[in-house]
Amino acid sequence: MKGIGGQAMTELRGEYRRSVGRKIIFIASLLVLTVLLAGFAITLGSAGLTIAEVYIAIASRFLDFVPAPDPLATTVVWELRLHRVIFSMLAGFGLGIAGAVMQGVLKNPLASPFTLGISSAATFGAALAMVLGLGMAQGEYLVILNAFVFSLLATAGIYSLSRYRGISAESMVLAGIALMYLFSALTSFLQYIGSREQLAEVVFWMFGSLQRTSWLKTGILALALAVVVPYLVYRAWDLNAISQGDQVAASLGVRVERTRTEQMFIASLITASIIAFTGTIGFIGLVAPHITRLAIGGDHRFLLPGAGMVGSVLLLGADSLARTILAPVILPVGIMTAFIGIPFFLYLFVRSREGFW
Amino acid sequence: MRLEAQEISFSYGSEEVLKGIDLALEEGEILGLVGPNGSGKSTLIKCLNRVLHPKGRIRLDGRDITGMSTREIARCIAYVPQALSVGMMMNVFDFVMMGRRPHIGWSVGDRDVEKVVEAIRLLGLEELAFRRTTQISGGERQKVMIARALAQETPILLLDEPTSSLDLRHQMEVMELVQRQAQEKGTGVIVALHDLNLAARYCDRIVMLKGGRIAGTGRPTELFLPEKIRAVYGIEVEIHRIDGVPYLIPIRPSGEAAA
Repeated sequence: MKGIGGQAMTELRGEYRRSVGRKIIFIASLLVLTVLLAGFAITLGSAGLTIAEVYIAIASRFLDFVPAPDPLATTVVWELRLHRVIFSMLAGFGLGIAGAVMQGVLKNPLASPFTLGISSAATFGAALAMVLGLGMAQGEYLVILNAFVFSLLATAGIYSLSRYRGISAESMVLAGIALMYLFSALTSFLQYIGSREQLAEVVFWMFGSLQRTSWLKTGILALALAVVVPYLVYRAWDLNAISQGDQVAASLGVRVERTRTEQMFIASLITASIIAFTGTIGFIGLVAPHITRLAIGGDHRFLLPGAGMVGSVLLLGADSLARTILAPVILPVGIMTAFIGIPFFLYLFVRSREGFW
Repeated sequence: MRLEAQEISFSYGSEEVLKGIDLALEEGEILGLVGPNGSGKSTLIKCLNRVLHPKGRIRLDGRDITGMSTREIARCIAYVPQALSVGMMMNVFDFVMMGRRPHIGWSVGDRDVEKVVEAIRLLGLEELAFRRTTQISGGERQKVMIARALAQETPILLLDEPTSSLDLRHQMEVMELVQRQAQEKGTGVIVALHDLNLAARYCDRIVMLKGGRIAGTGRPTELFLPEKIRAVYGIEVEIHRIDGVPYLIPIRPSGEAAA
C-alpha cells in the first residue's frame, strides 16, 4: 500500500521482460533441437548415411550451389525417410498442442485425446473398417476415414452429452470418460468376433505406428496444422482467462461455453487428423503440456507452441529409438513414446517442488 | 460512470433468487451489499456484469448493456469473485496481467506492464510478483485477485466478499485502497460484505437484501438500527457510535425465528 516507487517499478518491469525472454529461449532451443534431431533421425537405418550427406541431399533440391549428392542418398532421404521424420515432427506438435488446449479449456490435468475417448473412438472406427469392412471409402483410406470420422463423432458426443448440464469442464470430462469406455467395449466386441488376422491388424493399429507415412499424408497434416495452430495461439488469452474460473473469464469478456466448445472441436480435429494416419499414440498429448508447464509456466501464449515443440521432440526421439533399439525390427512408436516419456515425466514430477498443476 | 439496474430478477432453475431488485451506483460511490447467507448478494453481483443473465434492465451511463459486447462490458466493470482461483501454473504477475485482457489484442504493451506493476504495488505484492499463485497464502491470493481487478482499469468495481480471507489489518488496508480508488479516480464500487462494521465504516450507502428482495437502503447511520438488524438477521445488537460511524455488537439470536 505505497505510492509508486520508480526503482521497484523498473525492477518488476525488467523481471517480467526477462521471464518472457526465458520462455522464448525455451521454445527457440527446442526448435533447434528438433532440426538437429531430424537430421540425425534421417541417418538412422541400413543405408549408412552421415548427417552431412543427409543435409546435402535435402539442400541440393533448393540451392543451386550445393553439389549434387549421391543418387542413393537422394532416394533414401526423399523417398523413404524425410516424410516420416517431418510427419513425426508435425504429429508430435499437433498432439502436444491438442493436449494443452484440452487441459486448458477443461481445467483438468488428466485431459488428453486419449483420456477423453477420442482415441478409442478412432480405434473403433478403424476396427469397424478392418473387421467388418464398413465405412465410406476404399482400401487403406477406408480405415483412415473411419478413424477420422469416429473421433469427430466422439467429440460431437461429448458436446451433446455435456450440453444437458451446461458445458462445464466437469461435464465434458465425465462425458469423455464415459465415451472412452463405450468405444473400448465396442472395439473389444469387434475383436472378439473378428478373425485372427483381423484381430492382429486391430491390435497393431492400437500400438500406433509411423510406418505408413507418405508425402501426401504429411502434406494433409501440415495443411491442417497451418490452418488451426495460428488461430489457437491467437486465442491463447481466452485459455488463460478460463484457467482462472469460468465466472472470472466471463467477467473478462470471454464467452466461456462458446470458447470451450470451439477449442475442444479444434483440438479433436487435430488429433483426428493425426491418429487416423498413425493409430493410437496416447502419451504425448497428456505429457507434453505438463513438461512445458513445468518449464515455462501456464501462460498459454507460450504454453501452446511450447507443448507442440516438446511433443515434436518426444515423438521424433521415440521414433528414432523405435527404429534402432531392436534393429532391423522396427517397434511401433506408440510403445516407445511411453517408454522414454514416462521416466522423464516422473523425474520432473518428483523433482518439482512447486507442484505440477 | 453511472450504473443503473431495474427490476432485476434471476432464478436458478425453478428457484427464484432475486425478485425485482432496483439499484443505482453513482460515480465515486461505494455501495455496500449486506444480508444473511443466501439473500442473493453474490448472485446480484454476477447479474450486474452479465456473468449471469437476469431478467430486467441494466444500464451504463444510460446505455443498455445487453447491446454491448462482452469485451466492452469487461472494459467498464471488473469483478472479484468470492471463491479464490489460482490459475494453472501461473505466477502472480501473469495472473494480474489477465486483468488487461479486455484491452489487449495479443501482445503485451508497455502500458499493460505499467498497469500491472502499479496494481501489484498498490496491494503491496512486489515480493510475491514472480511466485506461483499456488505458493502463496489465501489472504495473498485474495489481494492478487483484487490487483487483477485494478489492472483492468474499469470505472466500476464489483467485489464479492473481498476481505473474507484477510486479517484485520489487511481488511482495513484493502478497504482503504478501495476508498482511495473511489475518491481519487471516481471508481464506483459495489461490495458485498458480511462484516457490517466494515460496511458501516467504508460504504457511502448500503443495500440490505433478504430472501432476494431489498429489505432496506440508505446511509449506514439510517439503516443500521437494532430493529432493522433484528428483522433481517434475526439477532439482537447493541449499536455504539464512534466518530459518527455506527458499530454493531451482536448480543444473541432473537427469540422469533429469523425466517
